[in-house]
Amino acid sequence: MNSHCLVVQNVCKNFGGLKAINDMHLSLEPGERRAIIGPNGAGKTTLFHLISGTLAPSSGAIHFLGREVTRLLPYRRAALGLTRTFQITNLFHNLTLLENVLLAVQALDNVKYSMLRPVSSYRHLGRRASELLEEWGLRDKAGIPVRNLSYGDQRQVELIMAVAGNPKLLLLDEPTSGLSPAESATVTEIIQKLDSNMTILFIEHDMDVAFALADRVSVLHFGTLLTEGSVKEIQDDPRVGEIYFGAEQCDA
Amino acid sequence: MRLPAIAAALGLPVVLALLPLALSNYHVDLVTQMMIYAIFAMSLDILLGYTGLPSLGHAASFGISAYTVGLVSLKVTSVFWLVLVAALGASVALSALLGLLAIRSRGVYFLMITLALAQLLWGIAFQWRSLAGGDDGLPGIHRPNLGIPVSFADAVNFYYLVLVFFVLVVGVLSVFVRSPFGIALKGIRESETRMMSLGYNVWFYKYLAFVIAGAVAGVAGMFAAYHIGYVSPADLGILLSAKVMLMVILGGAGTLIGPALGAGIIVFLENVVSGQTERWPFILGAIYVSVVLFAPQGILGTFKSKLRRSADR
Repeated sequence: MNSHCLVVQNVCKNFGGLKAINDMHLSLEPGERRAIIGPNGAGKTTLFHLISGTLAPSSGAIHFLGREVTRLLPYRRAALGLTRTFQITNLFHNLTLLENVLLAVQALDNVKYSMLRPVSSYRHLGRRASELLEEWGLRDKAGIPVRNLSYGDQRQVELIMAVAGNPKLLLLDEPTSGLSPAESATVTEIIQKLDSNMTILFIEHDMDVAFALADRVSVLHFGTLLTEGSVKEIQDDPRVGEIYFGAEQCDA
Repeated sequence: MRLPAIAAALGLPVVLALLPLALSNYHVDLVTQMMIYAIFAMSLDILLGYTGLPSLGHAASFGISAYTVGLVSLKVTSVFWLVLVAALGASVALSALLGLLAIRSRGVYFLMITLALAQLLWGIAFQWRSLAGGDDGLPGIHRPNLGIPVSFADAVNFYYLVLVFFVLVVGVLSVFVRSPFGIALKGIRESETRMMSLGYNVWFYKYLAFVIAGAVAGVAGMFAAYHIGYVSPADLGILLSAKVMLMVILGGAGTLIGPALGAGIIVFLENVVSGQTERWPFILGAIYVSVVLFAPQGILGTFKSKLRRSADR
């Protein structure tokens, strides 16, 4: 088990009588790219909340890099190298792009508690933030409040914030949601170019994106793991079409 | 820092230092009061403007410090540095305690719980006649004794003492809000969930911000007690908490200097208007409504966004 990046074991999450996640199993190899697909209400986002620590499971265990993190708070998981993006853009809207990235860069540095020196005097933080913006082609927009950036840019900033600390495991909640096909292709390309040692678990509704990015795919349905396999196996599995389109249409 | 900001940083203390040469003792006293409330308003801005925590009980930290000044200087010692340690210690200890109870809530719930806790203290001060003098408060507090041959009973000398602390607070807080810790507070104001997923212990940041704001409010409370020589339950009450919140909103929450400006305006108006009419709270209410309607970002906030718009053009 220690060789795995992430192991989710027998995890259940109940909201009152509703079993949002039921007996979930998931294990990710280091460097693996894993897509989670499934219709609305399948429990994908709940599973993400459990892995990132926003919610605690009702039962079961979660291990990250060989360490049990089942009830660890989100900020502690982030310190271990587990970060996420949000399906609904969740940025610091009234702060500039540079400030947004700086907050991500200093998050895992002890200077984040420093109170008596301006952040601009910490050159290494500024350098790293500029590097990231340069890399992502957003350098010119550093001084603009994030709320004034285009939606496409904001989705990219979501990604920059998450990768700024070089996480070991990156959770992407619908990275291309709401993007035009062209923007979606750009983001897909960016994700493909990320450090290949980084393990990525992502939720995606766009099958083309999911199959292009993933090594393996897990299919969720009504809070349970329906099946799991390589992209080819999932594409050929008739049950996957059924849960999305209903059995009748698949027969036709 | 941009050039105008540097000019202001150097120019403001100089102007304030020269002011007593041009003013009557009455007006020196008025500016002293403005600076005291400016310190108080800036401390609330750390919570309200930077961290997004709307405290309606900020008078608690102010009042506990004022009461400590009264009790210690009347019953124990008049040595300024000892009074200062006791007063700020009381503010920090109280904020550390109230923070534990209040920080778990947010938004309007935070507002209600801070209000309730401060009113609790108000109630204690009001009832506890033997220690705190009940509704009579503690009169007869003498101006501080620094152990130097300068009398702070003199309005101008006291002015300079307050000015030193005012410049110190402005200096420290303007670095603080630009520090890694300070921008983390702004991040919390914008999105707590994002901050947590980035790796910030949001609770700890909010708690420390609460204690720091309380300590700075304590500086203001201490000088307020020395200034008028009298402490009463009103120094802990909701009217004062609401007034300082109005100072922050009027000047521009999240701009630090804006609230100081707001404090100056409110203190000035209060002195002028209350000479003419007893309906001061009515005027205060009217100011609040007009700010919310016409300049919701406050004076400095509106000014800044106007500047930005004309720069974009």
